[in-house]
Amino acid sequence: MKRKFAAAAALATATVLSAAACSSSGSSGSSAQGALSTDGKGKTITVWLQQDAKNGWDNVVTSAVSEFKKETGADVKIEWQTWNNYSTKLDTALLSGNAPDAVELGNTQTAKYIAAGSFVNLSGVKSKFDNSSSWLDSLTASSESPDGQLYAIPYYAGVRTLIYRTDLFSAAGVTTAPTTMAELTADLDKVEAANKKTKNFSALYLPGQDWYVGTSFGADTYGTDGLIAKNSGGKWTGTLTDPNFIKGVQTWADLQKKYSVGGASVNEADQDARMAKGNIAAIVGLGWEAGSVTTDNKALTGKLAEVALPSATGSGTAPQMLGGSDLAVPAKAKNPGLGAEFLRIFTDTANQKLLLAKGAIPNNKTLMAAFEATSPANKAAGEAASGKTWFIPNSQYWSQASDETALATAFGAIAGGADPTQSLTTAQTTIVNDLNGS
Amino acid sequence: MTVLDSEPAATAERPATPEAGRPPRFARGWYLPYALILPAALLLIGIMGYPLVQLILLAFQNTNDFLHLANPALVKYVGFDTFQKVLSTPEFWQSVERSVIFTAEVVALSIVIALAVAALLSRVSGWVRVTVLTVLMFVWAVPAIVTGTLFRWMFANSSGVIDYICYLLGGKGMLNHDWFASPTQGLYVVAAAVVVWGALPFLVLGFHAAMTQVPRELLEAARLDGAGPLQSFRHVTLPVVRPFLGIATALSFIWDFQVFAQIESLRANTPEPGYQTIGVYLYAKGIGSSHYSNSAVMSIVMILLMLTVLVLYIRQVLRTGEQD
Repeated sequence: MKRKFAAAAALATATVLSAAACSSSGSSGSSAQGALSTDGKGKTITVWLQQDAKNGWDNVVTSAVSEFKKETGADVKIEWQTWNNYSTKLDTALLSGNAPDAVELGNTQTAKYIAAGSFVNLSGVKSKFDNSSSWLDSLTASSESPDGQLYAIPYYAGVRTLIYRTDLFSAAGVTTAPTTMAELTADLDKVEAANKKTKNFSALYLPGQDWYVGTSFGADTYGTDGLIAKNSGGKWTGTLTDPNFIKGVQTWADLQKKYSVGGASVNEADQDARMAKGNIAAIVGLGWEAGSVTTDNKALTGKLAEVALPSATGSGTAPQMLGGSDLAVPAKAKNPGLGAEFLRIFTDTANQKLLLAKGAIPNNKTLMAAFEATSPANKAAGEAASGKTWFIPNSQYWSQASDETALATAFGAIAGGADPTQSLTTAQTTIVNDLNGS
Repeated sequence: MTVLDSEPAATAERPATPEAGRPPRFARGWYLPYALILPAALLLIGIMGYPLVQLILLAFQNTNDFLHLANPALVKYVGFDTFQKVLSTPEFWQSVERSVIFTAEVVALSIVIALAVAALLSRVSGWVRVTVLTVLMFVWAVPAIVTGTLFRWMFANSSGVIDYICYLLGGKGMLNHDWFASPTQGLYVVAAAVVVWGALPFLVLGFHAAMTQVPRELLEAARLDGAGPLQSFRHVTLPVVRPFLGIATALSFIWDFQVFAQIESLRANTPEPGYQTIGVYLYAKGIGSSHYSNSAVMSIVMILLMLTVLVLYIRQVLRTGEQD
C-alpha cells in the first residue's frame, strides 16, 4: 500500500514535471489542425485500445491493422488497456512526450481532455471519415468541444437492455416479451413464484450501486434534458432531488427490494458472472454481457433474450444511458497524421460492419438497420439506442472517482433502505461542487 | 543501510597501511566510504527529494484540473488558499479521524495476533512450523489488490462463504447478511481483517526470528524459579523481542495509516464515503478527480500527521531504552 501510494504521488508529480518540460504553448483548446497521412514507411504507430475489442471483435482490429499496413507501410503496435483507473493512466500519457498515436477512451471521459487541448483537432478532416454525417448524437456530443470543433471520433455505442432467461420465463408461463412495466412486473411475479425453491433467487437482479440503471429509472420520469445537473449561464444546478426524478428512483428501489436478492452494496461489474450461476432470471445489462453469461455457462446458450426495458410511465421504453467509446489522436503524438489515418480505417463502413456483426452498436445511424437485422437481441439494443437516451453532464469537471462514486453510493444506500431524497441530496452536493469547479 | 554496506570496504583499506599503527585523521582512502555512499545518496535525493519538493510546490499552486496540468502557463501560485480550502472541508477531517481509529485498531490487532502466532510457533514441532511459515510466505506473495477482491467475494451477501459459515454455526439470520451495508462494519471488521491478514506474514516471521534469540537457559531458569508461561513471556521473551516490536509497530503504523489498495479493491473501486480513510479519500477527491493541488495538500498533511506520531513514538522508545 505504501508503494502504491508512492507510485500515485510520483505519478502526479511526474505528470507535472513532464508537463513543464514538454509544453510550450499555454492556451487551451488551440491544438493544431489535424491531417491524415499515409506516409509511414519504416514507422510504427502505437494505439491504445480497450480489452473489449480483443475479447469481442479482434477481427475488426486485425482487418484495420492489415489495411493500414498495406496503405501506409507503417507498422501498428496495439497496447491493450483496461477501464480500471484508466483516466489516471491517460492523464499521464497525454502529457508525456511519449504519447500514443491514437487512444480509445470512454465517452464520459473526453470532456476534460478536449478542454485541456490534449487532442488533435480533426474538424478539417471530418468529411473523410465514413458516415461522419450520421454519427450518433450522444457520441458526437462527447467528441466535440463546446464550440463545436471535433476532437474525437465515435467508435461504438453501448446501451442497456433487459436480458432475461427465456427458459425460466416460459416455465413460469410467460411466452411473450414484456412491453410495458405492468406486464414486466406481472411476469416477474410469475417467475418468482415458480422458483420459490431456488436458493438466493432473483427474478430481476438489480445491483444497488448500478447508478446507470438507477438513473435511467429517474430519467424515465424526469426526462433526459438536464438530467443529474443542468447548466445555465455557466453555473450548474442539480436535478437529482427533483420530485419527478425521485419518483422514478422509487420505482427502481421497489423493483430492487421485491425481485433482487443480495445486491444492495455491490455494483454491476459481476452481474453477468452471477447470472451464469443460474439463480438470476433477468438483469439490465449491455449486449456483450449476454455473451459472457453463455461463455461462463454453456448450458444457457440460446436461452437468453433481450428486450428494451419498458417505461414505468405507461408506454414506450425507458431512456437508457448511451455509453460508448471514442477514439482520439493525442496532441503530443509522434505520428498524429498516421494515427488519424488509422482511426479513419478502423471506423470505416467495412470495419463498422464487422463490428456490428459482433453485437456492438455501430457509431452511426446509417448502419443501424443492418445492426438491428443481425439478431432479435440487437433489434432491442438498436431500438433502445435510437430511442430517447441520456448522458452525464458533459463537463470537463465530471470525474469517475468522485461523481460516479457519489451516485453509486447514493443508489447503494437507497437499495439498502435509505431515504432517496436524502441520499441523492448528498450525491448532488458533491456533483454540483465538482461541476462548478469548486 | 548504505553506511553499513560501505564499512567493510573502509576497514579493508586499513591493512594497506600497517606501518602507520593508528591511522591518521586523513589516512589514505579516507574518502572511500563517502565516495561509495555518494551514488546511493544522489539517487535517494533524486527519487525522494525532488518529488517531495515538487509536491510542496504543487500544494501552493492552483493546479486543480487537467486543464492547468496540461497548460503550465495557466498555473499560478496561490499561497495558502488550497490549504485553507482543503483543511476547512469536514469530509477531510472525518477521513483523518477514520484513519486514526482504523490504524490504531489494525496495528494493535496485527501485533497481538502476530506475537501470539510467533509464540505458538516456538512450541510446535518442526514440520508444523515449516508448514505454517511456508503458508505465510504465500500469503505475503498475494498482492493487496487481489487480497481485497478475495475478501469482497468471501464476504459477499449472496453465496458468500463467510455468511454461509456463520449460518452453519447457528446464525440463522446470517445467510444473506450484507457486511458492506454499514461502513462501520465494512471498514472496522472486513477491511481491518484484510489488512491484518496481509500484515501477519512479515510480523510473524519477524517475531519468530526475534524469539529464536531468546536463550533457552533463561526460559528454563525462569520456569525453575516458578514463573508461569505468561510471566516468562512477559519478563524473559518480551525484553528480547522489544527492539523488533518497536520497529514493527512503527512500520505497521506507517503502512496501515496509508492503506489504499485493500479498501479500494474491497469496495470494487468505488469506496463509499464511510470507507474513505485518508489515503482513499485522497485518491477519490484528489488525484482521481484531477484535483492535483488539493491532493498535494492532503499528502503533506498526511506526512505531517505521521511524522508527529512517529516522532512521539521514537522518543518514547529511546526513553524506555535509556531506562533499561
